[in-house]
Amino acid sequence: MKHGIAVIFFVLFVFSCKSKNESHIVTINSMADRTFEAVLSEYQYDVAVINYFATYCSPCKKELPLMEKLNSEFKDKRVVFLSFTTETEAMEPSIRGMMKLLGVTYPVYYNAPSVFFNDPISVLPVTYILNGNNEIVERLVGLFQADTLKEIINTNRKNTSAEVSYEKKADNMYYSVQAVRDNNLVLLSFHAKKPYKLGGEEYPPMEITINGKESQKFQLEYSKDGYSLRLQNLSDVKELSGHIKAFACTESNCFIIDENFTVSIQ
Amino acid sequence: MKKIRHAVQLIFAILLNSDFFNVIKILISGKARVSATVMKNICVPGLNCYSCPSALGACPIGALQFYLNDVSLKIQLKEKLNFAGLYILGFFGFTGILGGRLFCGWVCPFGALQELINRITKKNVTLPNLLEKGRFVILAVFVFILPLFLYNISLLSPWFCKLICPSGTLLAGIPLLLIDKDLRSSASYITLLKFTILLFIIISLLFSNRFFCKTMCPLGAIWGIFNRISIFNINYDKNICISCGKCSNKCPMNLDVIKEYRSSKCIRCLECNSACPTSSLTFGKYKN
Amino acid sequence: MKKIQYGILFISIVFIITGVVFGDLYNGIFIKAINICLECIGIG
Repeated sequence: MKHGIAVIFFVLFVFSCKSKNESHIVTINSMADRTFEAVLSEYQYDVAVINYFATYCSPCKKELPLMEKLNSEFKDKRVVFLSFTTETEAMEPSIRGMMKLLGVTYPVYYNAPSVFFNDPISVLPVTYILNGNNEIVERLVGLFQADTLKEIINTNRKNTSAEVSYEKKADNMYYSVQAVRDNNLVLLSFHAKKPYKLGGEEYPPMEITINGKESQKFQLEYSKDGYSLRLQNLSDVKELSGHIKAFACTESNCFIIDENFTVSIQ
Repeated sequence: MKKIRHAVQLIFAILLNSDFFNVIKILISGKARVSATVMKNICVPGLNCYSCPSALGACPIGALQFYLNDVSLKIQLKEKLNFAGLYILGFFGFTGILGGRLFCGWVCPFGALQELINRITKKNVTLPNLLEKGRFVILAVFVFILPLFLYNISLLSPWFCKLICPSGTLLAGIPLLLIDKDLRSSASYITLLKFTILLFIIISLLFSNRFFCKTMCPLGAIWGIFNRISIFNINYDKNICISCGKCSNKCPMNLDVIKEYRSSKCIRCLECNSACPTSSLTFGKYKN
Repeated sequence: MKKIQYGILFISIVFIITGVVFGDLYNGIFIKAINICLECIGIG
């Protein structure tokens, strides 16, 4: 029996030495006497995911890595993830160690009040989803499903701002380009493909770079005939190539176009 | 004696679960919450779940497991331990050395509930000795070893509470699930397991009185260790005993009383004392 | 026997007092007892 215990302690010791030299950054703050409004005002968001946890709560420890995963997924998309605990300063080192073991990098607060916007915390874990006006839109009791939470976040984001996707779709998916020769002028025009619209009122104008002896940059404003550009001194050129930078938007989503194009002059 | 004991059990059951204000509050709001008075700092001598909506104090077995979780976490993180654990250990030592399992028989609300269920049939089958050792296994495995030695931060759990404790299921799980519909969505296979265990215990109670105390209760196991040496104890005077066997007939724990009157199975209900025609069995200060 | 009994009683009382005075009962016991332990009641 004594040997057994010794072996267990040895194993504990060996394992506890393992994860030492990882660099890990997590901000752990004390709420002190600040209100939630004050803490939340430090962040800019359309959706805030507020999670209550505790060092002794084992479902919470399953939840925190999920939060972290979603946090990296929604980075720079105006979604903020925060975790709060009612535990005090005395537990701060444990909280820090735990976050390190669980790989959490988003901000964590201890010393939190046990009432969240008039809702007393009586069950752990509990997760609140707030919109940009700090209104609670959803309260999830117990271990949440990552998919459920993701869906809630996405539905609340769509209401407040258009989605900008950075994924690159197949070339020439959003627009068609044409170049027509007219004496010594070349008329270059861009037409949006359905269901997209190019540019848009609140987006920056389309930006075109034409390759040539000297690369030239043009900003295209919308006109009745679509986006078009008159180019001179191209009498001996049969093909135009360049780069297009613009937004292509549907009713609900916007995509960034950032790609090269080539067009033969007719 | 029986009537006095039942009265004492009732008084303690009410006393330990007397936050009626909180019960009213959750009934009105429909949102589950537990009592949160300063009393929650104090361990109560009985298996009375923390999470029971009206529970005033803290279950010592729950507190012990949570503390061992904390110790495990802090050893992993190489941090200073919390001395609060000494309070929990001291509580077991203090109550144990005073009366042993006296509290099982006279205080524990879950024990009282078991006796109430057994009233339906009044059957009391003697269980095999091996089965009755089960409570030491549960104490060692689920209360000590698993909460302390599972080396994985997400596996730190009060394992006895999580997987077994029927007191928690009955006194906290069922009422809270009935009241709060938000909680129902997070029920899982563990809920099923715990309800199965509770059902199994309730059915077993129809055949054997205090089935849970006899075979599973880790709190009874801890106090049982003190039964042999507690300051207030059952004393037996061999010289005036007529070996009529009335004591053993009355014993709810199926003990052969004059041989096992200080056994770790005895819950000090003192039925044997009142059954004894010659008062050779008495309860008082420990005598050799 | 008396020595053992009162020895244990004395040690227990010392433990309780040390625990209460030097320990952190708030984080050690209280905070755990005022939240519903979902896993304890069989959920989560």
